[in-house]
Amino acid sequence: MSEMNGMIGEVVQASTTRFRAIAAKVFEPPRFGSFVKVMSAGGRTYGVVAGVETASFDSARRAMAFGMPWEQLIREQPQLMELIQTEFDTVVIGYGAEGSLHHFLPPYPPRLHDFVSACSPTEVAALTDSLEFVRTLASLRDSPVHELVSAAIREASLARGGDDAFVSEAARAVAELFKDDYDLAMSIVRRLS
Amino acid sequence: MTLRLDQVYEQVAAMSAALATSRDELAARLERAITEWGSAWADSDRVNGKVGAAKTSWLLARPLEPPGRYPDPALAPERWRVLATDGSQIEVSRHEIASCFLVNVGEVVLDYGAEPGARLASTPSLYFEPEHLYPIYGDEERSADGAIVGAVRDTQEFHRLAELARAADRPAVALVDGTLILWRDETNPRGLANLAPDDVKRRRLDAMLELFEAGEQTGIPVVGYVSSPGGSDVLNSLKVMICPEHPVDCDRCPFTPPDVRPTAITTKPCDAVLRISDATLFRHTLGAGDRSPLFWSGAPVLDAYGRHRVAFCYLDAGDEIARLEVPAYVASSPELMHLAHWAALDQARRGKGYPVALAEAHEQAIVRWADREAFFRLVASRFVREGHRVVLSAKQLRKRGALV
Repeated sequence: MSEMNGMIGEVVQASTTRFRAIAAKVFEPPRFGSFVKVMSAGGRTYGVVAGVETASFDSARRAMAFGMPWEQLIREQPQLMELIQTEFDTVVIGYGAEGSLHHFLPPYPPRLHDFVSACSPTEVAALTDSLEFVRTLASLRDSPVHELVSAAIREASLARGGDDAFVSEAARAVAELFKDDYDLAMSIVRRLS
Repeated sequence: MTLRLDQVYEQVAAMSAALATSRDELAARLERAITEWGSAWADSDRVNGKVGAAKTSWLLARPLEPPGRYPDPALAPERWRVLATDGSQIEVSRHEIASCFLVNVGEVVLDYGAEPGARLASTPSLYFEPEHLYPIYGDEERSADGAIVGAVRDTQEFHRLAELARAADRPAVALVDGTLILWRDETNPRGLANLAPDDVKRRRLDAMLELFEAGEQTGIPVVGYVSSPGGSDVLNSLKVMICPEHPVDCDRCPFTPPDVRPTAITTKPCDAVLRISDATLFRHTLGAGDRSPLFWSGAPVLDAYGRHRVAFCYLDAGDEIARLEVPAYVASSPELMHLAHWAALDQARRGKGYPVALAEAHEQAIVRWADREAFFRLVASRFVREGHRVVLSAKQLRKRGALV
């Protein structure tokens, strides 16, 4: 199935501003702060990975401690890998339709069960040409904003082949955006190096 | 307010006091049972003769293996597989919109040793045709009640386990949750085998025998794992050994006055081991990981099993004494019995007291209340879409929104 190529997760909860996905493989989520996309019938939703969680499949059953090294555990309790799942939470930063890319929220959230894949370096470059995504991420209230903003800038820089000029410009944008909160701005900038 | 705990509290205190007084008596009877197990059971010929000739109303265990120690075989296969199935059901409800029942069978394939892995799955089947809702059960037409749905579920579990056994590509053990003895069909064992092939009772028996056949052909022991067993077949046989009569005939018990039920008095010789269960006896006589010798079960229903009679033993699985039941092809093969003993023990160890495969099969099969509600919502929405009449009973509507 060509659609499965590069699939790293499947959407299980979606709203206008965020979506949650189950990773295709346990313990193999996209990196925190990396750029991902969902291809839906109506277009492409772009987002930044804002959190990852691995837990028991069944919320009524909590994982317990076995007290053995991982390799031994998998030999002794091979069913465990079938009972846990990795989920990641994504903040929507833009969308694309009919060949154009927008740095604002999509008219509709992605559908449930749509596949999530990683953005290509070209897509990341296009998404981060405008530093609007920094503002979107900075507006979050329930995430460690300084960690998420700095991780997203680092991931964007990596996708751009270690672009120092981009990091400098992003740092300036951060300083401007958080001019009323010097400590927060500095904690983000410190995390960029 | 539902259960008034304040009112039940004093009754709990009285129950606790009663237990304390009977504890000493129980300890003395247990002592006697342990002594008889060590002495009376040692002479297998005498036990076979006396138990074989006894006429009792209880089930009697007959010795299959000599007394002695049967320790953990401590096998170390390069790779092996454990198979298990379990089921649950949504029964027919008069209060719901559609007459139907659902059986959900969970299955587990666990591979150990080289190339470890696991496959967990469940398969639901919906039954709604008239022949399912009004089947023949024990040669009479009945509407599908809990017993019938249970029998259909058992049939599916055995059938799927047989398929998994046939597909196994390495040494394997097939675990059944609970007994291999179809106690519920016990009333008429000879009649059971003569029922029509589409009789629900007969189908369950046939599915179990098919499972035994599959296990025998593939060299895979089928093991019924009974947790917290309540049986006292072995103790019943010890009672026969304690009784001075020969042959023992409880209907003519000389220690019971005429016109008195034998159970009404507790001074008969056999009452020396009264109300001790097999599990209690073996809790005090087995070492960690040991199993007891095998016994033949005397359950009358086994007459319908043909050459696949069921034997059993008790296993000290650590946290509890479990009862293992095996068909004759396993009981008569030391190699398969070693595998059954070791795998059951290994599973209980990995599962911290209860076999992992059975626990996971149960988790795969279970239909929770929320699942049941979701199922009936699914039925309702489909019915509405297709223009069928949807009527819930008044009781069901009330349950979904009680008056306050």
